[in-house]
Amino acid sequence: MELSCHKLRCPCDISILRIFGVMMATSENRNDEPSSKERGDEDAISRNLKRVFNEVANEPLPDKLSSLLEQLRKNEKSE
Amino acid sequence: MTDAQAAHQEEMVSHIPALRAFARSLAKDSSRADDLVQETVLKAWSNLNSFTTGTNMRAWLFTILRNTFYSEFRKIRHEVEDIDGKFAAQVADKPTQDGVMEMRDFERAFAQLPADQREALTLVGASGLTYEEAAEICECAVGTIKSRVNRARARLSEMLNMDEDNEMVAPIADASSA
Repeated sequence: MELSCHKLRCPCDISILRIFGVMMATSENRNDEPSSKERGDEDAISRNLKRVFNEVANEPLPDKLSSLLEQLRKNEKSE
Repeated sequence: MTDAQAAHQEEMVSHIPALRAFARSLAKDSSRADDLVQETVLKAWSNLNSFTTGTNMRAWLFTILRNTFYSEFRKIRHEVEDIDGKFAAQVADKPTQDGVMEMRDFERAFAQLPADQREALTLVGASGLTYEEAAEICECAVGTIKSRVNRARARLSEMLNMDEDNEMVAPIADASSA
C-alpha cells in the first residue's frame, strides 16, 4: 500500500500538528514553572495565620490555667 | 470516673493551646483571652458528659468559647475599646526585627478586621476546621463563612499590599493607613 505524501502535506494535518506542538510546549512550560497555586503552596495570608495561631498555641500555659486544671483533677479524684 | 471520661478530659486538655489561640483572635488582649479560656475549660469540664464520643471535641470547645465570648466578654467596655484599635497600636509598638516584620504587619492588619471575619479566618485558615464545622460553631450558613473568609482575605491583601498570588510585595509602613 502506497503512503500518500499528498495527505501528509495537507494544510489541515499541518495545522493539527502545529496545534499539538503548541499544546505540548504549553504543557512543558507549565511543568517548568508551576504557579504557586498549582504547587499547592500556601500564600502569605495562610502562612501568617498559621504562624500567629501556632505562636500562641506553643506558648507555655499560664500559671492560673495550670492551677485550674490541677484543681479540677484534684476535685475529680476526691469525688 | 470511667476510662471514657478520663480520655475526654485528657483530650480536652490537649486542645487548650488551640483554644488559647482562638481566644486571642477574638479577645485579642492576652490576659482577657486567657480568662475566656479559663471560663471555657470550667464549663466544658463540668459538661463533659454532654460531649458525644466520636464527634469533634475541638469544634465543641470552640463553640463553648465563642458563646462565652459573645454572651459575657463582649459586653465589657474594655473589649469594645480594644476592637477600636488598642490592640493594633500595642502590636505596632513591638520591635519589628527583620524575621518577624511580615508576621507583625500581618497581626496588625488582622486586628483591624471585624470580629466575624477574624473568627471565620482563624477557624478555617489556622485551626484546621472545615467550612461546615466553622459554620456550625458560628451558627451560620456555610456560604456565610466562605463569604467572611473571602472578604477577610481580600481586606488583608489590600492592607498588606499583596500581589495577585497573595504574597507581600514589600513591607508596609503602617497597615492602619491602608
